[in-house]
Amino acid sequence: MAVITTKSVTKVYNSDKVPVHALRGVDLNIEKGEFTAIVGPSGSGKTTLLNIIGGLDTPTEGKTIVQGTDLSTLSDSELINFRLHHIGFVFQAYNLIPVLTAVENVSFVMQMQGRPNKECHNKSISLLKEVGLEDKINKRPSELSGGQQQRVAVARALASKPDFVLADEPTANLDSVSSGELLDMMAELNQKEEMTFIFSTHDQRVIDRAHRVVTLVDGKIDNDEVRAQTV
Amino acid sequence: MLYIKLAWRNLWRNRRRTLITMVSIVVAVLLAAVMRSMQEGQYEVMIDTTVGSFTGYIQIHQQGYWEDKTLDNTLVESDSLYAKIQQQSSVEEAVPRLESFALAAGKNLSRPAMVMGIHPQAEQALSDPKNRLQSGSYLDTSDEHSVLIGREMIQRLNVQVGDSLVLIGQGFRGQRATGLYEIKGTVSFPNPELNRSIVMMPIQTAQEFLAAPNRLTSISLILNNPDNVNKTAKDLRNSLSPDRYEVMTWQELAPELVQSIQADRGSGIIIIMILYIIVGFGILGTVLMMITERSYEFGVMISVGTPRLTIAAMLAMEILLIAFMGSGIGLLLSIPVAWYFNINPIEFSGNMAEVMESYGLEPFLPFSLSPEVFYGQAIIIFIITLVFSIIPIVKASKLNPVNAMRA
Ligand SMILES: Nc1ncnc2c1ncn2[C@@H]1O[C@H](COP(=O)(O)OP(=O)(O)O)[C@@H](O)[C@H]1O
Ligand SMILES: [Mg+2]
Repeated sequence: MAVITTKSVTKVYNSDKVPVHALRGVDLNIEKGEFTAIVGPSGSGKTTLLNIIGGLDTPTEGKTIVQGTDLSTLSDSELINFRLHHIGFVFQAYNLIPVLTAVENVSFVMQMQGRPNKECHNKSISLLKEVGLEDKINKRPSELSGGQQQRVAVARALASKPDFVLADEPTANLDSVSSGELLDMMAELNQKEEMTFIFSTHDQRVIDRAHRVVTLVDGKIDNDEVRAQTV
Repeated sequence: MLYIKLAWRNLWRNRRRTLITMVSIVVAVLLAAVMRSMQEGQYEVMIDTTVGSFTGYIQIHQQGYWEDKTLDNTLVESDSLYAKIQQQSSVEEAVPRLESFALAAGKNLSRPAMVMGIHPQAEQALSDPKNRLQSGSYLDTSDEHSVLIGREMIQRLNVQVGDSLVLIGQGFRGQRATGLYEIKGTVSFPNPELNRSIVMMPIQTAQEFLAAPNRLTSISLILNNPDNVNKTAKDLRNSLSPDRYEVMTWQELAPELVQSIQADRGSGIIIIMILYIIVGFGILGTVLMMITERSYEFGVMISVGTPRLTIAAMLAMEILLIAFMGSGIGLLLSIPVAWYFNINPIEFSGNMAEVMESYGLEPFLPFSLSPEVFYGQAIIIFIITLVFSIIPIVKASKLNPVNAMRA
C-alpha cells in the first residue's frame, strides 16, 4: 500500500479577483522508502501540493490519503495531531523555534507527543549526531548557519518517527556546498532508516540526487521518472 | 510545562519591550497603591476622629431617641443591659453618656452649652478627655460637682479654671434643671464646635442635674476590630428587645461622613482608572506586536503538530508573567512607601492645617496599610491581563499555518 495517494487533486485559489488554478488534477502515489523530488518552475504548484499532502491545506476537489487515512475526514485539531504523529516537515527557512536550543527544538515534537523527557533528550542528541551537529546541541538557531539550521530541522522532522518527511525547497536559502551536504544527509537517512522523503526543488544539482523526479507544470504532472540509484 | 519555559524565554527575546511594559505596570501599581493608601489613610483619620474618638462604632439608644433627641427618650441603665452588651466578644468597652443642652453662665456672660455626662473612667476609651486636657485636672469620681469645658468656651465665658459655672436647662419630663459646678479644667478637641460649647461632667452629676437618675442617652461601643461593626450590630439587635432599644452603626450615626468618603474614594478611583487605561493600552500594544511579529513561528509550530491551545497558553502565560512581575514589583515598592508615611505621617502646616482643623481633623495624614489598598491593584492588573489574554487565544485558534508562513 502506498504511503501517500492523491486522487485528482485540484486547488483553486479565489483570494484575488481572478481564480488561480494552482493544481489541476494531480494523481500521485508515493511508496514507502522513496526519495522523491517534486520539481517545476516557480508557480507550478509544488508548495501547494506538498501543503495538501501534509494536511496543511485542503484540496478544492479530490482526495489525499495518507497511510489509509483520508485527510478530508479529519477535523482541524485531529489534523494537527495527525501531523504530529505521522508527518515530518522541513520548510524553506526559519524552521526552528528561536528561543529553544538545537536539542530542545528536536525534543519539542517528541514532548508534544507526550514521550518521557529522558527519552526525548537522548533521542534528540543521537539524531543531532546523525545529522553531524553533536557539537552544536546547545546552540540556539541564531548561533547556527543556515545549513546547520536546516539539518536541525531534518533531525526534528525525524524525531517524531513520521511516516514520511516533506521538505519544501529545503535548500533554497543555502549555498551549493551546504545544499549538497544536506541532500547527502537526507539520502543517507533514506537509506539507513528507510525514511520516505518528498522534497521540492528547482535546483538541478539537488534534482540529480533524487531517485524519483515528479515534474509539475502549471499544476499538472508533466513527467514522472524513476532513476537508477546513483549513491 | 513546556509552554511555561517557552513563555519565559520569549519574554526575554525582546528584552527592552518587556521591560518597558513591565516598568509601566510597576509605575501604575506604585502610583495607584500609594495614592489609595494616602486616601484610605485620610479616611481612617476621618473615621477615627469622629467615630473612634467621639461617636463610637455602635450606639445603643432608647428606641426613638435618634429621631427625637430629648431626655424623654433616654434609656435606663441596668446590669442586664450591660450583661447583654458584654456577651458580644467584639465589644471592648461600653461607654455610657447622658447628653443635653443647657445655658452655661459665668460671672457676667452666658453661652449655650452641650452638656455631656460621662463616666470618667470609661470615657477615656472614647473621647479621652484626660489626654485632651489643656489646663486644670481631670474628673476623679462619677459624682463630684465639677466640670471640664471646651478650650474656646472658657474664653467665650470669660472665666478661669477654678471659677464656678452655673448651668440652667430643662431636665427629664420638663423638670427644672439648675446646678452650680467648679470648672476643673479645659479640654481641646479637634472639632471646633465641641471646643466652643462642650461641658463635660461626671455621669451621676449629670443625671442629678437633669433629674434623670440612672438614665442615659446612649451607650457607645468600642470594638476590637472596626470590621466587626455590622455583625456585632446585628447580634445586638437580636439580643436586645427592638421596641425598647435601637442599635445604630457609625455608618448610620454619621451618614454624611460615609457619603463624603464614598464621593472622595470615587474620584480617586476615576483617576486610577484613567491610569490603568493608559497602561492597558501599553499592554495591548505589546500583546499585538508580540503576536503579529511571530505569526510565521506560530505557523511552523502548528504545522509540526503543536496544539493551538498550547500556543494560546504560551502567549497568555507571557502576558501574565509580565503583568505579575510588574504588579508584584509595584506592590513591593509601594508597601515600604506607605509604611514610611504610616509611621511618619505627612504633617500639614499653614493654611492646609487650618482648613483641616476647621473640619475637625487633625493636620496629620498617616497612610493606610489596609491590605485591600494593595491587593486591589494586583486584582485590577490581573483583570486587564485576563481580558487581553483573549486576543492570543482568538489569534491562535484562527491562525492558518499556510497563510502565516506565506507572508
Ligand atoms: N494562498 C494563495 N492565494 C492565492 N494564490 C496562491 C496561494 N498560494 C499559491 N498561490 C498561487 O498558486 C500557484 C502555485 O503556487 P505554489 O504552489 O506556491 O507554486 P511553487 O511552490 O511551485 O512556486 C501560484 O500561481 C501562486 O501564486
Ligand atoms: Mg514554493
